[in-house]
Amino acid sequence: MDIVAIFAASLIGLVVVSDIVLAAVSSWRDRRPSAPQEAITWSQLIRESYGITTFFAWAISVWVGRWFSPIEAPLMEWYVGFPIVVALTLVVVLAAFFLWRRYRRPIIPPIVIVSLGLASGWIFIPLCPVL
Amino acid sequence: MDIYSVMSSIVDSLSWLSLSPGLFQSFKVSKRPLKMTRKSTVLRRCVLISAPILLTATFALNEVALVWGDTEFAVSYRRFVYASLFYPFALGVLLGHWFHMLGGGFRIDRRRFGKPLVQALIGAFIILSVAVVGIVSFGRGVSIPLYVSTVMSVIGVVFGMLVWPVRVYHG
Repeated sequence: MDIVAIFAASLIGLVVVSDIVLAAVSSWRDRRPSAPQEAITWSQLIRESYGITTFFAWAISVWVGRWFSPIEAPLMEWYVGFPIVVALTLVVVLAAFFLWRRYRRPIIPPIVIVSLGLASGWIFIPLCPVL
Repeated sequence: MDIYSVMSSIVDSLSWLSLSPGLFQSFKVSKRPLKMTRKSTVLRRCVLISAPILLTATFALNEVALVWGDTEFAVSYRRFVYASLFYPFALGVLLGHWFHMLGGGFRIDRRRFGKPLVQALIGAFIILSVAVVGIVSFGRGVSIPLYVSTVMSVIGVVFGMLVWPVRVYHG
């Protein structure tokens, strides 16, 4: 195991330990009567924005699909794949926005958007890294 | 190590920290992002402002390292990202954790899924187990096909959706 792997493993361990400590602190803070009930977290801001825009769910899942695509060679040139993804992004984001304006609540389940985003990343803009 | 490796490592670790659910639960921010409440602290302000910046920065740096990086660190980093299985699994968990609800207004009953600490412990144990297995394989030079990282990301989404969902949704 080289120094990079040890360094990366240390970072991962740091994140996991910090997560446990912070979750424990959070449980204690939330039980206090003086805990600010109106406050929300940054990740909640992202999630709540889902009602208005599907952009974050779509964009992150497309990126994850791009990085971890099972396809070993691109199916199309980048100047074909990227415009398709941009067009799909516009369609998904605008459709969700107009549905939100019509019904005032999220209509498309987020997991559907995530699944479509992953599939789009896999198919249209796979990274195909040289390892 | 060159400056690129130091910079990407720092941003990467900070960004994972800022994305971890426990951190978000601990440092609550105002509903009005740019107008802090009286109880807000400098730390909360920093987390609020830095989290989206770090998220963008880590994705950009990963993209650079995964696509164009030709330094020794970037090559090792690229191999580590795919061989360790941590990245695809953790990113999948993040997606499942955030965007799991089945329909508009669906609320999660937190009692069904345990308290946040239990969730964090289960999640940390699983992620750590995956990371350890991947790191050991990486250290031994085991070659892992690309589709394994795809499978791990999908498993991560399902895991985040079913085992580690967010506590409360608007409805």
